[in-house]
Amino acid sequence: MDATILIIDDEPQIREMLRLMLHDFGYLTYGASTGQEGLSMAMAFHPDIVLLDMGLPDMTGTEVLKHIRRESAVPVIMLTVHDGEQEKVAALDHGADDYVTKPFGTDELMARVRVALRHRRELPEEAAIHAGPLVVDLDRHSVERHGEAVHLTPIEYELLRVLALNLGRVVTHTQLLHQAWRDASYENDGHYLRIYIGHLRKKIEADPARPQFIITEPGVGYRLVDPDAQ
Amino acid sequence: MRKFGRRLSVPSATSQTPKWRVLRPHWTAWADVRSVQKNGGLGGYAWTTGLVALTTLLLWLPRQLFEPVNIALLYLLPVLWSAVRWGLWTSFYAAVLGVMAFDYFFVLPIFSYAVSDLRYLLSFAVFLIVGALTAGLTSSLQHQAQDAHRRETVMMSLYDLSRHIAAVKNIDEVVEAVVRHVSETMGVAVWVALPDSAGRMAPTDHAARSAGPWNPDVLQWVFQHGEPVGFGQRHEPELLYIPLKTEETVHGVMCLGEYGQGGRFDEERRHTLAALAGLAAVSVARVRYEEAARQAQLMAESERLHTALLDSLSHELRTPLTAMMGAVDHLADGQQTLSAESRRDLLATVRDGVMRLNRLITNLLGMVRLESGMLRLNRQACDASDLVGVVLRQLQEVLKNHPVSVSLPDNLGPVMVDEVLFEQALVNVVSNAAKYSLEGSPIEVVFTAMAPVLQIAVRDQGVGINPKEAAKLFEKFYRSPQTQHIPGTGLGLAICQGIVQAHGGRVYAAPNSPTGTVITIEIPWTPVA
Repeated sequence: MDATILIIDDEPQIREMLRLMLHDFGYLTYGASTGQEGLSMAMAFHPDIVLLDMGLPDMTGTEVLKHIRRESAVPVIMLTVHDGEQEKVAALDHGADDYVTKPFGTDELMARVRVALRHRRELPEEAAIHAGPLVVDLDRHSVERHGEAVHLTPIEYELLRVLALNLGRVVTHTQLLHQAWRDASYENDGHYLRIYIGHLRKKIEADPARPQFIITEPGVGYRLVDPDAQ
Repeated sequence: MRKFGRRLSVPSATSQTPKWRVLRPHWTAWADVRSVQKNGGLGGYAWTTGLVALTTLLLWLPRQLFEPVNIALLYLLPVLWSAVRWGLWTSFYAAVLGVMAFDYFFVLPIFSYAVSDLRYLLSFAVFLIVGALTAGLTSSLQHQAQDAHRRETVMMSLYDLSRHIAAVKNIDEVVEAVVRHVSETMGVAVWVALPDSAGRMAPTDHAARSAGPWNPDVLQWVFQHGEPVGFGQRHEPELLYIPLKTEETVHGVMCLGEYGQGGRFDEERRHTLAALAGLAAVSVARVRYEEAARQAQLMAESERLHTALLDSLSHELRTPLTAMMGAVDHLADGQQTLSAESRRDLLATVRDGVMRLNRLITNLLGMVRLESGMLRLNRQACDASDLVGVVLRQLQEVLKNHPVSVSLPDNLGPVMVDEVLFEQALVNVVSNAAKYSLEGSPIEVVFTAMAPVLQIAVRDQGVGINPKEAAKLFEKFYRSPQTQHIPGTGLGLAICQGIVQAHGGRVYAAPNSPTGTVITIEIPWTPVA
C-alpha cells in the first residue's frame, strides 16, 4: 500500500520504534526531530499521514499543526502524554484528526493510522456506515442493530450520524455540539450532550455501563468504534 | 550636675560637645551615692525656724511649771521633725537654733547668754546626735522605700511586657510588642533592629516603616560588642543603644530616643530599661530557638518522608524494570530455542511491567500535582454510568479475573465533577479492590443517592482492613503491615482522597462483611428537580 508517514518527535528512541513498527506494516516513513524540520519535510514530501509529538523543543504541537493546516489537509495524529486534556481538545479543534496517549500499544496506533488513511481516501458518499452489527443508513435515516431497527429521536440520530461519519475517529464535545445543534456551545450545553449520549447508549449498547460502540474519551469527546475490528 | 544645651544641631555652641560613649557599669555606683543626698532647700530652714519659734512661744507662758531640763527636752521635737522632713543639715540647724532659744529665754538670767550656760553644751551635743541619727535613719528608710518603689515599677513593667510576649509565636510580633511596651513605659520613640542571616543588622519591618534615628555603624558595633552605647551627655544621654543580650549571645539591638528631643535617660530609667532589654532578649531568643526547633523538626519529618519515598520508589520502579529486562534478555538469547508459548509469556511479562510503570508514573505525577496546589478542577455535568464505563474500560486488564457488578439508580441525573480527575480517583479505588483480593472474587460498585451527597461504595472480598488503620490508609506512602508483600507505593488512596476533597467530598474505609473492604466516596450532589 506504500502510504508515507512523517514522524515528528524529538526523541530518537521513539522515532526508531515507530519506524520499525510502521515498516513492518508496510508504510514508508520520514523522521523529523524539530517542528521546523517537520514543517519543511511535510511541505517537501507530501506525506499521507503526520504523527506529531505535542512536546517538541522548538514549537508547541498546536503551532506546528496550524502551520500544516495552512498548506494541507493531511491527517495529523497527535502523540500526547497522559495529562493535558485541554491541549488535546485544542489540537483536535484546530484540525488534528486524532491522538494517541503515550505509552501506546501497536494496536491502538495502527487502528488510528488505518482510520485516518480511510478517511483521507474515501469521501463519505457511501449510503450506509457499518460498525460491526450496527448499521447507520444515511439515505434512509435509519439505524439497525443485529438486523433490528433501532428507533432514535432526531437529535439522537444526528449525534450518531456525526459519530458514524467519523467512525473510529474521536469527535470532541464541541464538534459534536456544533454539528448536531449548530448554535450550541459546550460551556452551556455540555450536559445535554451527555444526556443524549446516555439515551443513545441505552438504545444501542447491550450494557450502557460497558459501552461497546460509543466510547468516552475522558475530557475530550466520544468515539464510535467497530467492536469487531478491535 | 551639668546641663546640656538643647540645640544639639549646633554642638559647638557649648563647651560640652555631645559624644558617642560606651556606657560602663560604674555609672550606677555614682548615681546611687547622689540619690542618697537630699536637700530641703530654704523652705526647710524657714519651717524649722518657725517650729523653734512656736516651741518657744508655747513654752513661754507655763515656764514656771517646768524644770529647765524638761524644757530642753521639748526642744528636741523640732530637731526630730526637721531631721525626718528635711534631713541632716536642717536638723543641725534646728539643734543650734533650739539650744540658743532655750538658753536665751529659759535659762536664768533670761534674755541673755552667760558663761555659765556653757554647761548646756552637753544638751547641744545630745541634740546634734539625735538629729544626725534621726536624719540618717529616715534617709535610709526613705531610700529603701524609693528602692522598693522603683523595683515595683520595674517589676510591673516587666510583668506587663512578659504578659504581652509570653504567647507570641513569631518574631515580628515579639518586636512589635517590645517596641510598643517600651515606648509606652519610657515615653520615647523605640526601635529594634535584628541581625539578618549574614549577621548584618537589618531594621525589622516595624523599624523600616519609620526610619530610625540610628547610626548603622554604631548599631553594628553594639551588636558585635554587646555593650550599651549612648549619645549625648555622660550621665544623661539622649539616645541609647542597648544590646538585647542573653548570656554571651546578642540577639539584636534596641535603640531609644531621638536626636535633640531630650528624652534623657537617668539612672532609674536605665535600670528599668536594662531589665526590659533583658526580657526582650530572652523573648527574642525563645522565638528564635522555637523557630529553629520547628525548622529542624520539619527537616527531620521531610527527610523521613523522602527516605520512605525513595525506598518505596526505587523498589517500585526497579521491580518491573528487572522483570522486563530479564524477559527481554531471555527472548533475545533464546530466539531459536524458546517455544511459542514461553515467548508469549515473556512478552506478557514485559507488557505487564510497562503497564505497572505507567500506573506508577501516573500516580506520582498526580501526587506532585496535588501537592503543588496546581490542581484545578474542571467541573462538568457528568453521567455516572459514563464515569464507571470509562473506569472499567481503563482497568480492563486488571479486572479481567474479577467479575464487576455496577448498581446505579435510574435517573440519577448529572454529577458535577472533574471528569478526568474523578475517574482517576475511582480507578485507584477499583484497582485497589482488585489488587488486594484473590483472583475470581467479585467487586461491587454501588451508587447511592442520599441528597445532599452521592455515595459511591466499592466493595471487595479481599484481605480486608483493620478498623484501626482505616484512616491511615489514606495517608501518603502508608502501607498496611499485612499487605507488605503486595507491591505498591501507598499513593493511590492518598491521591484519591486529595481529588475527592478537592471536590468537597470525603472518602473512608470500612471492613466489608463477611470479608474484604468497602471504600466509600461521598461527594456533594443535588438531585434534579
